[in-house]
Amino acid sequence: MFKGKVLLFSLLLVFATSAFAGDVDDCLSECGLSCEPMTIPTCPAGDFKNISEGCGGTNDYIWVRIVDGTGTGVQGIPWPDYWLNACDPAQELCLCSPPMNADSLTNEDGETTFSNEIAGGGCTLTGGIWIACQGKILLDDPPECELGDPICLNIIIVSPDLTGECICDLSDLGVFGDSYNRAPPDPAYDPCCDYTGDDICDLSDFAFFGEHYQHRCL
Amino acid sequence: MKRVLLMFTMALLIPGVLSAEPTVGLYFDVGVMGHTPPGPDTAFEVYLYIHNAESYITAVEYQLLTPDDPAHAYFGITDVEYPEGASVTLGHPFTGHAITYWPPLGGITQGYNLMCTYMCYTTVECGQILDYHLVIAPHPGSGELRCTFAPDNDKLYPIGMTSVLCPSEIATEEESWGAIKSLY
Repeated sequence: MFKGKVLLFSLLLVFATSAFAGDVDDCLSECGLSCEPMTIPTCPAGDFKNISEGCGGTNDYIWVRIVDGTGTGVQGIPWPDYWLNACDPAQELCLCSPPMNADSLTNEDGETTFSNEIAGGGCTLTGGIWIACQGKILLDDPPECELGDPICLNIIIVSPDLTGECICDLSDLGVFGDSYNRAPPDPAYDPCCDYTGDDICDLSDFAFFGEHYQHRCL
Repeated sequence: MKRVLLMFTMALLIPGVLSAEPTVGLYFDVGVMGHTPPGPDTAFEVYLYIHNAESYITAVEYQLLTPDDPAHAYFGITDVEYPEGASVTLGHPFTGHAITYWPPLGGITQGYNLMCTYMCYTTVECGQILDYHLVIAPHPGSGELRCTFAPDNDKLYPIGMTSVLCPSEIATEEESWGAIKSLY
């Protein structure tokens, strides 16, 4: 009788351990930035600025540490198994698939970085960006974790796809034109049109707009 | 004496330096900035070129002014055509015009790069609008005549040129020729 209980307990333990091993734990996994705030101009074709230029340098990056329920790093997660979007649903981005690729497979500690382009459109100025891995949004530390609050990275995303339809077209030109040659405190100034980060929507931004005109998800 | 010679040499060099500045102007033919239109309400082409741009131009913004005729009563533009590289435009030459180019314009040193072509007309005979100036001026939105260049779309500030419709010299010449013919 006792042997049977021990066997059952052992089986349960093995089952529980294997159930958590290698599975992404959204509560224990983490993500962050090498510098902040980060501003990343994006294009649906994924050919605007790199994340590595997000703070004005050339070596900036987003990092993640993906662990399972036991806190052990999940190794070998493929590059495209990530997603991101705005923490504020009102500023939701339009993203291509995959929107970004990791620089490498996760290492034995479950770590990898992102330094290339993001493929998508829309504009997120406030509230930050969440990251998901294998369908799970990475959540804040407890107790926020239990409430389902995501980790919101201090990232601003701007794009010539101003309407967030995953294509930069005539509808975006209309929005851009309204803000052209405007700067704060002019109410017509739209910071979503400022791709150079100089607080004015001017010819340089228009040149970038033209460079990405008619670009869509590949 | 040496100082005078140095100053004289410098003075000789200045035009050379200035001539290397990029310019944006209206042309009627290769290097021709003066033109006598065929007659009222007859279409003719005018070409907007950037000259001496040593960079790969990605955008331009400017305004076309006609100071002798601010309301454009005697000169009009029916259409604007863009070269193959032009991707997006905002506005109109008379009110402030911005054009982007992707791929960028060639940037051939000392060369001319076509930015756009106007289809134009005049409403009166040349004799009524002698020396009608077409001035490439700053864009009213930014207060600047400027271009951007690849790869980072930094700005450069070309010099705006003035072209002339119905230049009086040619008109005088024609009148003289008419006078000669009238002798026979």
